[in-house]
Amino acid sequence: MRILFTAWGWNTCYYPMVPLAWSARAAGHEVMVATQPGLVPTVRRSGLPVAAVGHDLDVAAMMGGFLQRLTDRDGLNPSDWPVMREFGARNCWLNVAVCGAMAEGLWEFASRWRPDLIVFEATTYAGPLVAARLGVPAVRHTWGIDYAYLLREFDEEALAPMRDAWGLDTVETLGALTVDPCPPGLQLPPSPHVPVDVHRLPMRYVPYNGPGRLPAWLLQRPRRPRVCVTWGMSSGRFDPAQVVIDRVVRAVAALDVEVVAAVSPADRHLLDAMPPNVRVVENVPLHALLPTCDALVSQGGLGTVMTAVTTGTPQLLVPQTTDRLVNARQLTASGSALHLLPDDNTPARLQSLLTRLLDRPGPAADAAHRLKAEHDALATPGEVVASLASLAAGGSGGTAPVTNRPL
Amino acid sequence: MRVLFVSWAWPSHLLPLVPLAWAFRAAGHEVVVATQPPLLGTVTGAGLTAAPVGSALDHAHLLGNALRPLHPSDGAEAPAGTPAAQRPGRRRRLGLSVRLAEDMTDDVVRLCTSWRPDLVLHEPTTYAAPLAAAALGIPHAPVLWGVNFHAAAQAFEREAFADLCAQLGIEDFDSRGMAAVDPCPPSLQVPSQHPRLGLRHVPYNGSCVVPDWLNDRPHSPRICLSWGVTPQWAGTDDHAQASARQRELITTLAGLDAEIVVAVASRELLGGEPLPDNVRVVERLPLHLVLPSCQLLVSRGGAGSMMAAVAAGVPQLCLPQYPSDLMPAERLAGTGAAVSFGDTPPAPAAVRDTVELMLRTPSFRAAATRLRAEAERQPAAAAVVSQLADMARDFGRRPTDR
Repeated sequence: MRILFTAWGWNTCYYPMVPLAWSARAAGHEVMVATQPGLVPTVRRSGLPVAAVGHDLDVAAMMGGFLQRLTDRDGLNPSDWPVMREFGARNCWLNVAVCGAMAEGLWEFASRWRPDLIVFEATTYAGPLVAARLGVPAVRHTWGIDYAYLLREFDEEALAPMRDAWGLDTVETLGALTVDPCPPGLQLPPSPHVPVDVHRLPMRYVPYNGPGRLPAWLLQRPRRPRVCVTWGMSSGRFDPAQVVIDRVVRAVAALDVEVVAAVSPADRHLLDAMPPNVRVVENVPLHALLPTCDALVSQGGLGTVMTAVTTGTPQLLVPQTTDRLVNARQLTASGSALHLLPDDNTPARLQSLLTRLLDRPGPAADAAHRLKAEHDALATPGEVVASLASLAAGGSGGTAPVTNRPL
Repeated sequence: MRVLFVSWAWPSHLLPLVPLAWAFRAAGHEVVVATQPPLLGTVTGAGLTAAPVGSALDHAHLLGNALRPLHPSDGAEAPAGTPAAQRPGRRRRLGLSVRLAEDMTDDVVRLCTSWRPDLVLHEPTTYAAPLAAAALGIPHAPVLWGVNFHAAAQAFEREAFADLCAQLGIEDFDSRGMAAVDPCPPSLQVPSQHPRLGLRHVPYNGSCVVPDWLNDRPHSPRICLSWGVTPQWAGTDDHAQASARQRELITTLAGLDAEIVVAVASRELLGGEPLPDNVRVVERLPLHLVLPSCQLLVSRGGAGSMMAAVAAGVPQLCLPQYPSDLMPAERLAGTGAAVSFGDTPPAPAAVRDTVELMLRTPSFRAAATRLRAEAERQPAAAAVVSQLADMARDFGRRPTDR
């Protein structure tokens, strides 16, 4: 079977799909990844063959401007989804812009490569559009906690021009199935505003945060609790002012802990003069680092929080955008995390919450352990590939998907 | 479970481990791939986590010394004069393996002591892995690349690795481990009494940006010529002469009504002059992407090329270049999917005539299709991952053999 994976050009949106693509290859299927040109080197580093489609957009600048306008209006704290929802279809602006930049290119490529199935990153609308035009099944792949599902309410309106241009009646942006690397207990509940059912195929989240090397010190057990602090890979690209990791690291380092600050090379300069119990690392994959850590402090981005779910690590989150606030609320509800809003992010508050997370035994560690156990019981990507093969052959996707019905 | 993969730093030995490593990751296991420094980027380039072991040896030079070409160029250097070096084949090959193990074993032991893998999987000529695993009582298994021409070397292992065993404080070790993970269809593989875990072969020849021309059907039969990675080394064979011979072969084949795709690691191997219009030279294009559109593969019959063509169901013409190429080529020819030149020098006109014959004889394609079907019936990587994980767990429950 020929499976086309497609994602727009942002590394952290692409990464969650990599293990499923590997599994499809390892099972003997032909696999291709189609993405915007700027992400091509990143896809190559994941070991998969890639086709460049469409053109790049300066999404970092676009998102930076958008976040700045929100901050000017509302202050530093992010708005909850019910507030953002008032903006209607404008919530889909970035997904629509990216779709415009890559849909024609994806069609040109896919109409020649002839996939049997298209697996698309949840916000890559070009995927379901092209699948509809080719008449092949489209499978949506989430990043974990499914913020993109909430946008489905507005997708029909947002995509109308594109649908009309191609003469398509309907395009289901939730796909025929949703491959969902998220424990069902952590996932968003069905929304009364989303007009269709979502058919979820829960899958283990196999963390892929890019390749890297295993440093020798990582293998030595720390004497004191080890706390990982990261601000992810995206915040600094949107707006350097969001990366408050220097303040956070100083606050954490004042406790009797070992701090490992995982930064992108661009953010390293922020951590030049740090206390002796701070180790700064670049390019160590989080999935290799977190199993040695007792807690994680982060911005609450998707790759970061889901990796910590798989390692059973309690989390302290400081969400600065709506999607991360959604993540923080879900994780806090599970008991495995606590969160602080940016206005409240003082050293004293941060230290007090982190101390609670470091309690052993303690409720946060217990909850993180339960969440990990729920996660570990889910289907592996290898098993999900078999379901997808059945879907492409005209079946329903093999195992019965979990259907979330509107309340 | 923690799974450590180990290979010395040569691409054709490391790359076959990648799809199985992916399958372990996708099943939720922790995976680290240990290799010598020159190939750490190849590991991370496959999306995997790398750990350095051993040092940056001059691998091309070591290989060049260990393997003599079947058809040396005129004026090639005579092999070094020591009696041991004059003995061709197995003992010389193990000489290289010993040198590599001396370089890597201490670091593999250190890595195993700190990272504590539950299972060690390794490329068959990377003895640092079974040595370290035996010393520490960790279950281990080799992952074969294809036809196991290395099996015969086992008879020499005990003697060759006696010093390393003594340093590790072990009396002996078994490089065959719990079972050989074997991607080769049984009808192609050398028979063995040792347990075997069949694996559906998935070629991994690196990643790439797919060139546009691959999406169009070829207008005439497409023939792929591959030299793999191995001829990069500057051995006793003279580079310029080898390059001239390759150009002559390419131009002769270009006389056929066919599209010739020449897959090379580097264009430099072919010199600078232009080639005929129906020749397309591609650098570092993974074979598994180009082979499905081909009618025939012409190669020396190295394991990576051969197995990629088996998986694609493409007939093969094998032109062995080194003694270790002979037996796999003969096995493949025995399935009916290939012709092997054996140790006959590959005169360009003879190669062209054989290609022509193979293109118009349907039995080669039929046999290649049967062989592919047999390969596809082998258990998929996900199933082999479960089997290996179970075996590793059981290994922990019973007293070790040593």
